[in-house]
Amino acid sequence: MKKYILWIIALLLVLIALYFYSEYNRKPVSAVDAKAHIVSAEELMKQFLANDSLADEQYKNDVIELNGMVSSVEKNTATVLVFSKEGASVRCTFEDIIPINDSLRVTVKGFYIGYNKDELLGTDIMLNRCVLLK
Amino acid sequence: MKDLLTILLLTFFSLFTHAQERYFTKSGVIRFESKAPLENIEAVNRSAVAVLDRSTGALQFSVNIKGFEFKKALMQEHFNENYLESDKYPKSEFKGRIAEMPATEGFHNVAAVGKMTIHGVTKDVTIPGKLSITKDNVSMTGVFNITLSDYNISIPAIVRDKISRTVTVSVDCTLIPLK
Repeated sequence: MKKYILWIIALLLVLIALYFYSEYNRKPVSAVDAKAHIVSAEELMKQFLANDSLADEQYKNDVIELNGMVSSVEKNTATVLVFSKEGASVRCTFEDIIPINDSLRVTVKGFYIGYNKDELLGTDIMLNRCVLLK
Repeated sequence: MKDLLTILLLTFFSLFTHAQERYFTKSGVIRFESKAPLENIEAVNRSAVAVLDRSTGALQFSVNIKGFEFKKALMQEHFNENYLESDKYPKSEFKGRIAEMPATEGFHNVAAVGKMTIHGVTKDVTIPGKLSITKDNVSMTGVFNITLSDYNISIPAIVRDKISRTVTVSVDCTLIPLK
């Protein structure tokens, strides 16, 4: 009986160790699999221009699935797709350079990381770790 | 008549010198690195916003804390929920100026002097950096250290060997004229 108990304890310790190891090495969830708010770029900008703190609260810590017409593409350390209109923009930053042109209608999914409201620069809604769905 | 002409010419030319005063970026890159006995941690933020006034040297930076990308989920979660409390303090900012802002093109060693706000705490800082001014844009790079306790960022004893008390921050951005 004692022998079995020792084996069970040893097994439990191994399982606990494996759990901590996998938890420690866990990579951030990809936007692809996450549950998201589905909204058009136009609509999202409208919401922030109407009431930015309310919109920020609504999307805080969430994933957004955005569809719209790409206004411009920036290539820095990673690609940034920009959807813009008068006084506002949504900036979708990827983790790498991706092949894409502007003037395309796309669906992008990314993590909402906040917004920046500035009289000079306009209202910018920011998403990062974005993935291109289509 | 001659004076009027001089005034008109000077005004005309001054329009050109002040025409491209403010430069900006919305994709500045901020990296930070923590080197500790048990582990090195690093993160990158690709969405820093910066505005520079080339004539006065006035400089402002704004970074959304949730925009920092980590390789390990646990680290990103602790960073946001426990250390920086990004729900409470969503942004980190610098407001100040480039001391003795250079007017000419080329590479310049400069210092940015002003107030740094992290985790809701504001401190006076002087940060060394480099400016590269060309006809089309201004590039700015800088490396500096942040002592976590200066900004009330507390690291629990359990992970003390995993996170160093000072982190190294590096800034790299290219600003273009604001039209």
